[in-house]
Amino acid sequence: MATIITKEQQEKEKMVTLVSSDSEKFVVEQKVAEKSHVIKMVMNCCGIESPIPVRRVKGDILKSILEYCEKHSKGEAQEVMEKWDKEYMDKAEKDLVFFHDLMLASHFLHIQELVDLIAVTFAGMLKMKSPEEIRQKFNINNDLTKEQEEHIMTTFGWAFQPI
Amino acid sequence: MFFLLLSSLPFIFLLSKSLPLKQTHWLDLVPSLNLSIKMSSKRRSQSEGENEGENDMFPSVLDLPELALDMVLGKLSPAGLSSMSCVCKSLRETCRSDHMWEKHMKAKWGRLIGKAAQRQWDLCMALRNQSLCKAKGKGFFARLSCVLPLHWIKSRIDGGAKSKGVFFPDVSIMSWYLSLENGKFWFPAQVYNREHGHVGFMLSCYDAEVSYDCHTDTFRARYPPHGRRTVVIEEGVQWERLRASPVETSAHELHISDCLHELLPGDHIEIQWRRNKEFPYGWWYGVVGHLESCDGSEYHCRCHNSDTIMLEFNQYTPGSRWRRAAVNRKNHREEGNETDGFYGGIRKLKSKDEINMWKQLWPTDNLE
Repeated sequence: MATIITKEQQEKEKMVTLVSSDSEKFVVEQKVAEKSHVIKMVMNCCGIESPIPVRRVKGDILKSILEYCEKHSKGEAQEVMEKWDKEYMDKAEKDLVFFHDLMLASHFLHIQELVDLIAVTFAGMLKMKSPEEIRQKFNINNDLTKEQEEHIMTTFGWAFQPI
Repeated sequence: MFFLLLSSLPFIFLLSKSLPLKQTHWLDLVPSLNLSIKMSSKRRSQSEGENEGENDMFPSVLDLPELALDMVLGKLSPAGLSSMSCVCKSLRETCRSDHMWEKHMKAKWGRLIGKAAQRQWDLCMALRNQSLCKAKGKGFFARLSCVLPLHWIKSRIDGGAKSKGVFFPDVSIMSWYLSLENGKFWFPAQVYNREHGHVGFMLSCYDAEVSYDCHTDTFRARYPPHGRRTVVIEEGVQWERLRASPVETSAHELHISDCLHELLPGDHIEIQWRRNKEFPYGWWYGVVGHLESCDGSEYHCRCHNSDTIMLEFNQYTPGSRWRRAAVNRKNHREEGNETDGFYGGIRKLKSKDEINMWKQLWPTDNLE
């Protein structure tokens, strides 16, 4: 006798459960989770019946990432997506620790569109800033010697005399 | 780094088949980024503990995985990269590396930098290196650098020599880019319609040394002397009036034509021309026309069988002595006299872009 698969079951089969490092569970559609190249490979390999642990990503980050993936799996118009992406990044940028972890997680889960978006946003944060401002904002010690700093200032100023 | 991760995936899949998945999920086995994620979590808890509520401190940029940092730096403009290179030692090394600058170099300067400009840069580096040798004659590496390639020495003493105050010329693409940008580097290129479209040079392209002026986004061009006429300098040459020399031949050498046998009426050409034998050649635009004996009809035309090729310079009025010139298909080298000037090598224009460029420069009125 053929097995009758109800509509409800069919939908249920398309859902996948992801578990964050702090044991938070997220049930999302398979096509949403597939936005991550890494999770897609896990699903292809191991199926979607059992929850997939994403133990290196915390719940708040995973939640945000899945929000991004869900929006990007809908196939909306480019202008709509660009506007949404901008708002998404504006929000993420406000908390630099969160932004940093989001960046690492997007690399870890290999979500190329998000990796690019974050890189562009990050580059925008560095734009028009002096080296000292960058050091302060991004927690970097100036380990250049005085000599090296002077060299940097003069290296690009040296003139080629017209021959 | 991630490439490495991906390349190891098949192996990890194999592992996952044999290992009990629920005990050790393979996502935990992926080693590459775990360290950094842990580090950021550690920092997170530290910063939360130490400065409760303050969350505007980025965990150090330097802790980012190499790939993530490269992606960010790859999105920076040349100005952004220059600024980042002054932040700390580690960023200095990364931001000055050639792979960060190749695309900027190509995007802004690729069209204009030909082999001649590359040679000029190498020459400048060698000259600077020589003067360094004289100035710092006592240093072992300085003397060594006169006989060994700079890249070789640099790769072996980088860091150590700098701390002792011995600096070698910066042979990086960044250094070249910035030297072009700040206008200190004069390089060979060719200028269409030289001297602001001077009527005597209409529809020609002459060799010049040029340097960039970033304030006006234009170039200064220095033309070599024409006999008694001294060096001419033209300011404000726009990008679109410049090109890299399409041939290796210098302005004082006759270009060896390799297209004479295939030239047909209607073909677009450039021909070397000079007023007299002391002057440099310029490249002049023309088309191959029909012989006087031919009526130009598609069916009767036998011009391609003739030993004579008729060149037409239609920017000149009919009857002008500059309008037509005949060259020998079999043994043309340089033809002409002191009155009409000398016609040298010919190159056939094959690219539409090159032909369109000349059409854009076409004068509004016919020339006498």
